[in-house]
Amino acid sequence: MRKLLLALSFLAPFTCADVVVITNPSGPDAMDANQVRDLFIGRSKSLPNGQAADPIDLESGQALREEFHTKVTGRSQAQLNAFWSKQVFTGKGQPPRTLSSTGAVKSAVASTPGAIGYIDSSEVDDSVKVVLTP
Amino acid sequence: MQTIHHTKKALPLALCALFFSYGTSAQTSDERIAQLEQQVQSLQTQVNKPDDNRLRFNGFLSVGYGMASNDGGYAGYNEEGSFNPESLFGLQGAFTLTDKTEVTMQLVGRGNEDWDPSIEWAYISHRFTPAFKMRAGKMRLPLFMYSDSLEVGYAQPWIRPPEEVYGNVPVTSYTGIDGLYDINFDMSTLTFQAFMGESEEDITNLGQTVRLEVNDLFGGSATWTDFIWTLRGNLATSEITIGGDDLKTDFYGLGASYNNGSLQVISEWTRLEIEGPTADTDSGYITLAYTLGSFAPYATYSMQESTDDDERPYTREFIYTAISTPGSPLYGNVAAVALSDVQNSERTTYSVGVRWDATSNVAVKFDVTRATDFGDTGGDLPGNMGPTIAYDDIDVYSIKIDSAF
Repeated sequence: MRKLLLALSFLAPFTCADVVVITNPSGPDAMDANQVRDLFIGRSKSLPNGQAADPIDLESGQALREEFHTKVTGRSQAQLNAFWSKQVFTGKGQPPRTLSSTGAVKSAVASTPGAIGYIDSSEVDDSVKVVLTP
Repeated sequence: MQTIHHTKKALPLALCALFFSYGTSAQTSDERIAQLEQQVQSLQTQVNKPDDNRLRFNGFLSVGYGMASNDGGYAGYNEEGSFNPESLFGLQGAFTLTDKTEVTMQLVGRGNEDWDPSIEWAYISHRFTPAFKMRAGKMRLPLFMYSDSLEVGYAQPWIRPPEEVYGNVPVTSYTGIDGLYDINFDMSTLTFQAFMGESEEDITNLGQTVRLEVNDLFGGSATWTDFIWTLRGNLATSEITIGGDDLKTDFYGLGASYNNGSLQVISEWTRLEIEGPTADTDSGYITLAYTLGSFAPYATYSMQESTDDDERPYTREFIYTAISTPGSPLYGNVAAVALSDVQNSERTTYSVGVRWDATSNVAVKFDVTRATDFGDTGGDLPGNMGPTIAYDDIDVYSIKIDSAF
């Protein structure tokens, strides 16, 4: 039994790999998927509580980035790249800044009012606020 | 013997030296770590303030190769294969002056213009309110859904925007001003655009290079999008001059697209009306594309048709004979070809292709296009502008690498 629990606890980080959207503790209490999507495609520029938004994406090639976009923007990585090249070359906007790890995203969100990003649910602590579990 | 002895002595000495140098480097390592910590800290501050990027550069590059079943010249391709018609590079610089003001410039060099760069965009934009922005300078003529990203192949599902719709307006940019106003609804955005300006360009018309002036250009568009659906309507009016008279020209366009992440449907319909014998054209297309992992196969059906054939009463045989017969009142008057049915067009085109996203920011596209059903016209092919109709249809095979960076 103990062995089984041990095995499960090893599995846990993989089976519970759920993406959660986080903001700075000063951010709004909750957001819906469309509000988050609009921030990550550059269509809206502020959080529901009025703060100027600073969306932070993970660098491309990471599984959590693909999971987030599948669930929230509904676009594959190739389609997102094409979408952003269209926005950039028509002067409509730039993609969100990117960081290389969820750890970096969490500390940036924790220290920047208005920042919004996503991390794995297992990494959540008091330094950030979960606003959406897509 | 002598050398071996020497080496035996030298080894401990070398080790000693190594140890001492390690000792001193350990001391500097501490300083180095402190230095690196400072650098990380300052980098972190920079990362937290992304607005410091006042000057941004982006670029795009396309290299295409194609060949056709005959010398009809569809999309610039003939029987002999060529790299030139669709190969190009672009470099865009955007300089942020203030939070609300930006200067943007785009240089494009094309394979069929010896890669000589020319300025496609050069404008200053100012955001007066979060919803209202104005721009002044040289900009893309916004007649189509993909006008703004016309030459950025990477942003498009096809190997090229359908020729029947995008190929009938030789002017792609203008100098003037425009205003963009956004109305944000709960789940969607409606954008109004109004523009005015003028343009002057050398174009190829009926096999000749002529100066085309576009004056008194006014237009507007309304675009509604919820990110899945996009609907667009637009119109423009101007006075164009090709050599002689001012010709009143009107343009109408409707577009719709749907993209749910895997299925993509795009359709546009346009009407071009030009005063006098210059051809008026109705055209349209519908594209279906489906994303399967890194592959996105597509199929397009498109058509075009001239709608004012009664304004060109003469046959091409009659006009070409008159032009080449000494003593005829039209002798030597090449421009008179415009009065003949050379400009009449009827064409249906089928394309199948695939976009393969090979790596991040590089897409490779393959396409086979067949243009046919010309009726008794030359199908608007450059190769069919002579005294006789040489080609009844044309197949074009092309491959293209599109990248954006």
